[in-house]
Amino acid sequence: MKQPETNGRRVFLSKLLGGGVAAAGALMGLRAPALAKVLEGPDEGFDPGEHDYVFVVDIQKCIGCGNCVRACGIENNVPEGQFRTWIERYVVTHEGVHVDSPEGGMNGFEAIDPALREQAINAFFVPKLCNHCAEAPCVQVCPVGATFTSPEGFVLVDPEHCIGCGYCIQACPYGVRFMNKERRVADKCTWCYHRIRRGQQPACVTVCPTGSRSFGDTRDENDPVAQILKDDQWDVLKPGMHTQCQVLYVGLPRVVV
Amino acid sequence: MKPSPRSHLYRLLLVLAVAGAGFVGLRQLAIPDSWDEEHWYRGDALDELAAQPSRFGGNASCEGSSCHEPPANHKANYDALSQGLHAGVACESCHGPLARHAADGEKLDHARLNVANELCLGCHQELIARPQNFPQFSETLLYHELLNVRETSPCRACHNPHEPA
Repeated sequence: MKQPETNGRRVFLSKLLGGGVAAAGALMGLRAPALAKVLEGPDEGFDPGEHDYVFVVDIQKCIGCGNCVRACGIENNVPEGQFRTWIERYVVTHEGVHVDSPEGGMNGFEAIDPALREQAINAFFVPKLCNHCAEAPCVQVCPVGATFTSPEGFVLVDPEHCIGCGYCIQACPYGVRFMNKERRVADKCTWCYHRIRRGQQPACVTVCPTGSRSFGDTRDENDPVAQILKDDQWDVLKPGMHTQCQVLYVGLPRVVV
Repeated sequence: MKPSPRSHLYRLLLVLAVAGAGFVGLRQLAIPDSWDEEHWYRGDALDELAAQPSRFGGNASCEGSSCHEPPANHKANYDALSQGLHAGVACESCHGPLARHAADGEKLDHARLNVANELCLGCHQELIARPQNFPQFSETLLYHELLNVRETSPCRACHNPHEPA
């Protein structure tokens, strides 16, 4: 008569499977449902067709503290040494323009060379990020459709579909794209798409202490960005590229590229 | 039996048919199920991207909250901040991401700040590129000179970061 197995491979595997299912269940149970809704799930009531977003950068308010760069890195798990947004410092002299951005401005800026300071006729900070162009060159060149314009007008990268060819990085006139060195796919600012879907502001806007960065819906008349459009005193970077940038700069000196 | 005089054509047709079927089959496998033919992207990508967790909760998470009433001073600090000169500065500008703390009560080491002057100088260090009207630290300011305040002095000795003046 055959004895029932007690220590065979089959028993071991079935126990392993049972244990795995139980552990997964326990881990899922640990997540409070309320927390998951606020922080992890997309908002079900979001209608993409009802919004028209723009991002506004006020040059005259930026103090170059680097809060935005740090927050972006934390919020989006940006690898060290790479930046979805960064700050440039322009120092204009009669001899030429000096631009620096140490570590993307992540840790702020040191005082400039005293000799340069003597010559400076103008100096200011310029935050940079993806312009979410309405006519985006990166979307046109992507051979697999991994970078695309979402129904709300966000230019996004599908990391599961990207093959990492890097065409989009070369096509971007603003240099905002990079090859994520951990995931090996193209990466860039998403305007914190996941936060917008939940009714939050982008992380960089949330932490900006002077209100130099703002984000809003131009279809909402009460939104502060609607006033900026009404004032009609904004510029875009490299207007000659005709990419129809949706990042608007207020008080942008002409020397900025 | 003699082979058909057109057998080379039949063979060619068979090869073409197999190649065509292979191409169509591979193409079906390569195109994601949710592919949007009109806008040319994978439809599921939107919800996948939107599922990324938020780490910064924004001031909305703390507003009107009754958490940390005295003795922890959390609410007092929040109220003072929203009325003073630092009114536009969000909690997370200095204290770092707090979304999990606000939603879940998670304890966070980075939220407790114990700084002498680096944090303040991050914004208020005198720099040529900063806007002219923005308050910037100067050792030659009258009060600073009278009290012998240096760049390395602890700002908190005189200034309350939640209610600066």
